[in-house]
Amino acid sequence: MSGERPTVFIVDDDADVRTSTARLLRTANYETVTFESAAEFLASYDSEAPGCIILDVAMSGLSGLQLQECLVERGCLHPIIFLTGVGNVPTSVKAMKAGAVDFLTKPVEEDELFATVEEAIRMDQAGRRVRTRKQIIARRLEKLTPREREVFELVIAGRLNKQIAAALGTVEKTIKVHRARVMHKTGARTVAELVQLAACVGIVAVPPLRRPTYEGTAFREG
Amino acid sequence: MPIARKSVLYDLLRALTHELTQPLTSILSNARAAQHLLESPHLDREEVQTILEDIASQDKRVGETVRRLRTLLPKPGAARHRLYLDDAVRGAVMLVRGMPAATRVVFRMKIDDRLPQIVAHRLQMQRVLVALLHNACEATKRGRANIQRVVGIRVGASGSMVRVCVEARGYGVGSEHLQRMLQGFFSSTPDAVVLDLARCRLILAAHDGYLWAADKPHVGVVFHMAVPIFEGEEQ
Repeated sequence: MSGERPTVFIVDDDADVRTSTARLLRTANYETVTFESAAEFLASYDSEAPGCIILDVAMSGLSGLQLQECLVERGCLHPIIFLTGVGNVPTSVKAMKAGAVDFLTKPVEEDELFATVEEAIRMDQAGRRVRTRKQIIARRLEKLTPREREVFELVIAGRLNKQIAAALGTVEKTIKVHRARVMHKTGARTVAELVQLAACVGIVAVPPLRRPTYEGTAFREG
Repeated sequence: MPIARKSVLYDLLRALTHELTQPLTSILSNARAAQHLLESPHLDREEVQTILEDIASQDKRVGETVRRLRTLLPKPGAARHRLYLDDAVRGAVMLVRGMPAATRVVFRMKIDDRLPQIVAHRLQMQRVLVALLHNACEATKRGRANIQRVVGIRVGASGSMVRVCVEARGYGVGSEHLQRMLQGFFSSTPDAVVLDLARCRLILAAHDGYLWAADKPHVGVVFHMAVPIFEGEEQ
């Protein structure tokens, strides 16, 4: 996936602007795909392709901002750059709050365009890496047996083997075996790594209480 | 400056900015792209040729906008006369009745007695009123097919203005479409028989009056126009 050239999706209802923007980006070695309306874009764009989206704000039909809303709702993860003819502060604030990378005013110089696209592509790549890592971790955690899962949650909560054994009603030796399997299956080398990996998928350990009651020691966020 | 005139100028400037920005954006991007292509070791002459042609046509697009802008400006020295707006309304209704858009449309007029005079360019007022009525007729087409198509016209004076209100009963045309019509200074044909609403707004602004239109649920489209009452001695 990382070997693929990033694609810049351009949505603008003005054919001249659309074509020239795509042309310029191609000279900087980006793949480009153009769309003349928000509807066309929604119907046919490849949400899996690495890259970013450039949206014209003032399109007839669905406007750039409405399209952004639509994409956010659908869980689209591509970073969005806005292009606007008439700079308008409330509009740009709204766009930025909804997660836009930047709000560029036409006519835009290439330095500014290239820098912004580059940043958007970088954000996309970083986002993709995080998502891939999350998927890998989630898959590893799925391999844990229910007992191993219990041990895992107690380990990341900072419990000692002895405490875990007491909590689960078994002996320390058994816990050691479970713990070794947890480490092996998750690929974590240290407890710190295990905690980090749990945090990455949103599992946050509750710090140990003074008198541990080993119930609800870990919870899933969100 | 009267608020109505300010708002029409604001809308005109917005439309003009858009109309100029688009080709300027393309010209800049195209020029930069051509530069990059010329620097590359494998020169694609054909591509550069296409780009240069595009730049030329986008430049012409700017020229066309400037030409349009000139036609939008009211002609200086057009003679204005004292006149009664209700006469102009009756004249406009007669003209519109003969147009295909008015087929099967019933006009219901309510004109107040003893209307004050206004000072205006007679032909321009006529054309604005024709445009309003024509648009109203078009708007009634959105109603149910076999229902009677009605355009209501009211003329009266209130405050310092003589006002004309034209109601096109039906389902309306949608506020977004209405906005585009009122602000489409560069989007319609300049020499059409019926003036576009954006141009009507400019004419009324030049008379210190205004034109507005709104889409009202359960009513249809309502057009409002107003021209200041002549303050001098009546003839």
